Amino acid sequence: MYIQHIFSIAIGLLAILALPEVRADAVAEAQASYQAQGAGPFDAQAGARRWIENFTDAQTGKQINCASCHHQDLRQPGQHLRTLKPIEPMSPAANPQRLTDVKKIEKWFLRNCKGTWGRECTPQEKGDFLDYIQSQ
Amino acid sequence: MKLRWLAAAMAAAVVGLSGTLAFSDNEREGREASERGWLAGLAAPTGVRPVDNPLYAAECSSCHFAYQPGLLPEDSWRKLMSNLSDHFGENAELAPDTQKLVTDYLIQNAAEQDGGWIARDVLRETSMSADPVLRITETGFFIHEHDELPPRVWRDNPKVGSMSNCSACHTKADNASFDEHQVKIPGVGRWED
Repeated sequence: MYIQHIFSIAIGLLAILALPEVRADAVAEAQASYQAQGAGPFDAQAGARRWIENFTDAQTGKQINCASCHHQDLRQPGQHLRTLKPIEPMSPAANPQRLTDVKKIEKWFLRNCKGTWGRECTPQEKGDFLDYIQSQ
Repeated sequence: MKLRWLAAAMAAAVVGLSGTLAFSDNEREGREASERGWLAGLAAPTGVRPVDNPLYAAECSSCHFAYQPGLLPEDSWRKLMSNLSDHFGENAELAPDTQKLVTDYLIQNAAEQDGGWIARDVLRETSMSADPVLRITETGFFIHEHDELPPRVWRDNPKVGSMSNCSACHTKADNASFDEHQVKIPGVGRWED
């Protein structure tokens, strides 16, 4: 019983300690694929500007941007515009699970770029966003 | 002392009986039931079966409440899942393999398969409309259950906002329990009609 507990605590600790490395790998992998598509170098400041760039929501006619759901301060939790469901902070400093899974990164870029901007983000824009999110 | 023995004997009888029921149900439904787990043969006591698929829960509840599959008929889920790029105005695209797995789960556990009283009521009402209903909030059952609520307690309530936000008021919604006694509307309190 005790050994099992110690074992699972140890695994949990290892997972937490390993997260920054997993994150660095995931971001590097994603950005390498953007560079292979001709993008780069990446710029966190450009990502920051894009984060609050307004677009007109086709359904409601309202002005929306990334911060509408994710908060302008990436260390704060956001809230889904329509369902009001809380969204965990985007900043890895506030939420260590962020940017640790390339598949997840691409899934949400695809959905949210199309949903918010009405088009996919370019490899350059995605790379800039990753630098920006990581820096917060 | 005597009472305690009696209670223990009764409890044992109940456990034994439900075990037998589960077994015979599983036998009757055969492969189908065993694919969905042993609980599947029994109707959910809450009226609709709880979500029991981690992939569905993870993929869909990032943005909204993980609605129990028994709340809509098969055709509704099929239609809804075939148009995720415009999911009530949101882009909710999934990778093809994930989309297939989630769709299969929803269809295999849709209202037709659920057996609970809520699922049966949903089915009775939706079977009358020609097109599949895509919003749970537009099923006759749902409207009937919620039509007495004034907009101030839900739509204009910043903690609720929408009827789609089940768990804002149904405190046990995550366990598929929508019992009126468990309703607590934020800023309003208990609500029974």
